[in-house]
Amino acid sequence: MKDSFYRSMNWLHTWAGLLVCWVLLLIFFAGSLSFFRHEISLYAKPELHANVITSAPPADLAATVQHAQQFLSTKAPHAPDWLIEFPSARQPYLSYSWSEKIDGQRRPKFHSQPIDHNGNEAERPRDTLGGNFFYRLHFDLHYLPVQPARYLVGICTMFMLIALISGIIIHKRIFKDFFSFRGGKGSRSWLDAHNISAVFALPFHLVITYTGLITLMFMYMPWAGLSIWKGDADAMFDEMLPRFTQPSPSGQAAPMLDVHTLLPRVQQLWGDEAQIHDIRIRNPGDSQATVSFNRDTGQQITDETTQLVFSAVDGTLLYQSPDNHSAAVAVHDTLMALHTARFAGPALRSLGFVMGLLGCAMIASGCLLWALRLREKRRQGFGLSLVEGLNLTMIVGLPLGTVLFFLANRLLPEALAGRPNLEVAAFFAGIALCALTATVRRDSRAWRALLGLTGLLALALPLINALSTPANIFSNLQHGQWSLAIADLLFIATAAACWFARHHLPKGVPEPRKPLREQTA
Amino acid sequence: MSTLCLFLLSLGSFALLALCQFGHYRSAFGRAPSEQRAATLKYAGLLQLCIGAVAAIYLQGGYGIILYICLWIPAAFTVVMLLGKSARLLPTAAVAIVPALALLPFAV
Repeated sequence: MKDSFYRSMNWLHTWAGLLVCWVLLLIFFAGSLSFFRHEISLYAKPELHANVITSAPPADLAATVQHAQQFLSTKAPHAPDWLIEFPSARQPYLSYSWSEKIDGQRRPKFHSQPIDHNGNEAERPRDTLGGNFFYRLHFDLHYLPVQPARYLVGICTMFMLIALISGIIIHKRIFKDFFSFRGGKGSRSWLDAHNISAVFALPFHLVITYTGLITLMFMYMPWAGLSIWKGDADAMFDEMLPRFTQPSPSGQAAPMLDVHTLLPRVQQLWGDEAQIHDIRIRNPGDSQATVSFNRDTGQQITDETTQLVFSAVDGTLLYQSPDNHSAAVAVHDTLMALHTARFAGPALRSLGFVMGLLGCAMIASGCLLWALRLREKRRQGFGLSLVEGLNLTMIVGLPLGTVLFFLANRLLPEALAGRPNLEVAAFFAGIALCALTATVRRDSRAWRALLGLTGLLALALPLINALSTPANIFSNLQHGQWSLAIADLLFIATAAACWFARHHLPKGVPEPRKPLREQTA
Repeated sequence: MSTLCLFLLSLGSFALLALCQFGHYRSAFGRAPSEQRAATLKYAGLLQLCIGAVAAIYLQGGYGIILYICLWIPAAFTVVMLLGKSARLLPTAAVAIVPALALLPFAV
């Protein structure tokens, strides 16, 4: 019975993993980059790199808020929304933003104006999706409609969870082989690599996969809640997560109070130590205008926003986020926070990124191992060709696409219409190039050529960055702009990894077929 | 500083847990450990892992425990690297608790 159970789990692990591994690789890869979503967005906007970027909070908060209100009331007096974002560790610049209603579109267009060190309007950054592309790709898969894409991601995540649990069951020597890596031994080495990347980061893999399902749990399994609230999803959310309901604009103009006069009350309610992350003003100039202060929650393990909402006309306190949630809401919030890691500082965030890449390594080594095992058994056929082709497409295509995304970000003209879409097209062009190559050949020559191309382009990126923008890797290091400097260093590390991989190709990659003359000789 | 302190505690724990295995002990010392020594190393490693968890909570609360568990990965990787390249350094890593405790007052 035990043997049969082991074999059934082995079968489950193989097929649950193999069926979705390439989509999972994309999800894990994009998710890992999403840990640095804001930093990637900053890197993608070089106009902000000089004279705008600052990690220090405003010296005079009241004066900054006053200036922002004057600016926005002149620039966008009829906008439905104003937003003042203060410099933070991850978004180190002051910006004033406003939205614009566009006829025929459900969502308003968002404009953002960064402010330089002297309090003047800085050059508007180029139009780019930046890190938000990888963030949305991680669960929306970009080109697919949102709902089917999220269901597909959910199914893949469930398969991942099954593969993880069955993997733990079939790993008979999980403790004995904990530290063992036997290099240069064919499929044994790949199994060791697969095991190490899986077991070392197992707490991360389990948590990130399970909490990934939790993030969209109300979409995947809404029925329990809906049966209690009689099919009214809004009533369910209102009761579970009570939030301030923004009143609709009345259409009657009313003078707004000076927002900075509310700051002492915010400090009184939150304490002097509290940092304000941003201030949002809704329906400015209307009698129903409101001002909401969002608190920087720092390293608190929460995904909820802590908010104070005042009337922008008479300063009445309309809403204050509750200090305590119910146990169920608190658990849900903690699980969400563990997935998004918005609370993480630089060290924990970097560890999350490394563990995400370990997840990619686990998935990639699993795919390669499957192909290697089949080839060792000399089972040629369509299945093996398909797996080898998809391995090349996704394992090399993802880094190549990412490098092309950033190259497009730097090289496309700034005024080009549809620029963000072209950057995204460059990302998918990298994957498509690998897929096209895989239809022709999938052997080590194809891997070496594409890895070489990825490495060269990655090495060129810091150089192109230095030539096309005011800052470079050395000036960023000199001025302590670590996120920008580390981005360039990561491209150099990618080039080194490609060079290493080119010379130490995995055994899962087939060698090119020798000409018939050599075979017979 | 607290990150470094917690990393050293994890490194020491994993080095001890690696040394409690006969093969790794032999790579480090050139001979197999007695069963009693292997058991002592194992329980010392597990105890140190728990001490690290207490230190993590003491230093940074809930955030600390998440950071600590994440630090296990580079610590375990360091042990694998040491085993592959220079296993004789593993006993040195096993006493990483000493610098960790020395750094603790600066991390508080």
